[in-house]
Amino acid sequence: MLSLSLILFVWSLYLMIFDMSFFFEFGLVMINSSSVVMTLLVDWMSMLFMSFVLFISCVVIYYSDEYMGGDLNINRFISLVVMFVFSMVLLIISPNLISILLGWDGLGLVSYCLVIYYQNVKSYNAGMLTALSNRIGDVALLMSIAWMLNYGSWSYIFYLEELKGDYYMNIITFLILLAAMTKSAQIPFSSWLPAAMAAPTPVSSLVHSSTLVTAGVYLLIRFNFSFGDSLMYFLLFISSMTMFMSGLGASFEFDLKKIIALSTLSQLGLMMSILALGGYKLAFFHLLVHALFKALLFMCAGNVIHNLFNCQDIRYMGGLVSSMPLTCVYLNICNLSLCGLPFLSGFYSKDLIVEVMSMGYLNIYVYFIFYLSIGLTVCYSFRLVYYTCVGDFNFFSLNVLSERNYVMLKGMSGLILLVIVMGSVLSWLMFFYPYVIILPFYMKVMTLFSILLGVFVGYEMSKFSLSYFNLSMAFYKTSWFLASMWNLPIISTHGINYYPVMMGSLLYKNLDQGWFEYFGAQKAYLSLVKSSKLSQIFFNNNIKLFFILLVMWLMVLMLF
Amino acid sequence: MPATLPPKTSHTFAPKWGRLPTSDTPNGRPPAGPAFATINPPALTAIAKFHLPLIIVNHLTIINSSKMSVTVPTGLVSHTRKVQSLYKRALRCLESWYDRREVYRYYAVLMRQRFEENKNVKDMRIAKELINQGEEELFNKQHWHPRKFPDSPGGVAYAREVTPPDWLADYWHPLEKAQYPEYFARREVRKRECVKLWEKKFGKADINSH
Repeated sequence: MLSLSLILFVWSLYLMIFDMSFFFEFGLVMINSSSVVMTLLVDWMSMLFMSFVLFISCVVIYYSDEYMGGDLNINRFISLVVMFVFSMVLLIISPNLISILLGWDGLGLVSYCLVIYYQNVKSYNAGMLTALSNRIGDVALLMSIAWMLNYGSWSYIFYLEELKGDYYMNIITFLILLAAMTKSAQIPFSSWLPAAMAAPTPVSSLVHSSTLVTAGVYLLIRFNFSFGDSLMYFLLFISSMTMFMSGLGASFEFDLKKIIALSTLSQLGLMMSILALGGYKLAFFHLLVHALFKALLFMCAGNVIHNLFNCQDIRYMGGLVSSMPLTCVYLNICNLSLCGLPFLSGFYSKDLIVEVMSMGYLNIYVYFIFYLSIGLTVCYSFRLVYYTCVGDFNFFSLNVLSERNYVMLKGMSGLILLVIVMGSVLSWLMFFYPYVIILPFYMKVMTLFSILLGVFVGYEMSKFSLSYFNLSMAFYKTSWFLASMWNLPIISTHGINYYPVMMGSLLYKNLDQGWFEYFGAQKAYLSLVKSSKLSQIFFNNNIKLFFILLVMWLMVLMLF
Repeated sequence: MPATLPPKTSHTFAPKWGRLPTSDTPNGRPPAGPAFATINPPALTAIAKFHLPLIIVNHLTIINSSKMSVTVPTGLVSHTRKVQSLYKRALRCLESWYDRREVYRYYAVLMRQRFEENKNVKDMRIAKELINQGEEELFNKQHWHPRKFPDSPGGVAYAREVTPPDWLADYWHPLEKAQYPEYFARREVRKRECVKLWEKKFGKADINSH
């Protein structure tokens, strides 16, 4: 199965840590001297990422066997997931922009098909939002392909360090940044990720946590060498804003999958921001580790939703620790890993990122946002745990809550060991020499401090007395603003579309169907009719006409 | 109990009483059906008279998909029903704000008391004004993420499985139809019976009279 291929690739990558990378070239078309070759890049980053993607997708397909068991169209589902994995693999192993475009467009299209899998109105709207947001990125990628024609080849791998400050490379890098921002749902384009939770949970687990949204980060990691300073500042700003906004949004959200989606968005912002500060290896490390525990988190959520008869609202859940203990255990481990509890897998990547960031020369705003977002991460994680596992039982009295779904549990158990262990394993493997971190004591402890503060705030906020004060009418507008992701979904859909569409209809009615018809098509037709009528007069052999012509000719003869 | 008429509500907010508004449709407009129902197939009007009795589930959605730009009152709602509807929606709103059942129960009792205070108002103008004020308060205090059941309209899992409409079987290719000869033979018989039943009940339809 897929796990076999995973194991092979994992071992092959370990060999490649000896700094080898292979390019496989297949000559597709060779005509005299110009040739079209297809290149595959096999180096440690792509093999490692591919192994993670294949492993997670293998677990997810096994899991969705039971989750989507009652569905009539499960064949369609599985084939879509397989096509998705194929596109992702194509994206990972390609060193040139054309095959990246194939994988990228494939990802966008297949994720659209997966989001609209359940055919209700919500899914259609979500799918449309997903597809159109991703389409902007596709356009940017196409444009960068066009600009890349200046350099003779689309294999960007060779050009990045050479042509770093070149004008065209700046344009290409900006367009690639735009593409990655749409795919990884950064601030102007981030409304599709919570909306795409209308997809079935295995899709969310595979696509929206580990693979699709990390494709943008992966692309930026590949293009990392060509970033200029101003672009890095821009990316840092955008990604830190995304991190902050989604952390706030998740703290006010009541749909389980949307909370986890916003948590993914927050971690993506973290990845992008450390990438913007130059640490591409750290971003890659966090990408891999995050993929693991986020996929597992989605699967636990799916188990809960499956048992609660498709109920995703956390206000309907509570006290699940007594009826679904194993799921709650996994949920807790994933959440603690996400928060950065020391020595779980998330700690290694997250703490390292924060410490490396603390060592740089940045303004106070960036530090503030970082630590606040880390605190918010913990806040919504503990809020989630409170609502689902720990609090009072809120579901209907007549229920069948159990953990008899062994297939789903087996699927999840495959990942839990990796979640605990992989952080330390990867940090020992990927970083041969440890990062030298010299920080004052309070900076080092600041992360732990903000985590503890987040625990306190999150737990207390979701309990009885404080939450009703918070949610009371005194903070109604604030809560609404923060809960709706700073009104971003409305701005990026209704806001930017409404006026152009109205203008468009005005232009269409007045110009296209109005004046242009009158002066354009109809006028051409009418003038043709008029001129043909005129020629008809001549063809009628009119005697008057001949006499007039005779007189005129005589006059001309006289004058000249 | 107010002895005089309470001050008027703001006239920018007025629910249109026609269809009884639910929490899904606060202004009395019908909810949008599933997307496929808005597609009006070309042969629908012609074969509708054959298939209307056959379409068990979907005809409601097809009718509902004709959204009118003006809300026409399609029924009369009595005062009692208005009060009951307001009360139920108010309780649902409380349910989405207060998570824990015991907290909700406390506030539900308080809400019931508010309704009980005005129980014996005899003047209909005052009663109507109270209902309007109540509707406005409900609108202003609604939750941004109301707590809905998954399978109800507006919930997460609503209309997940889509059954294709019945007339789709008529559009099959003849080779496909030949795979199920008995079913389609029986179907033709049923269609003819349907037409006969319809014409017996409603009279023969004149094709030019649309």
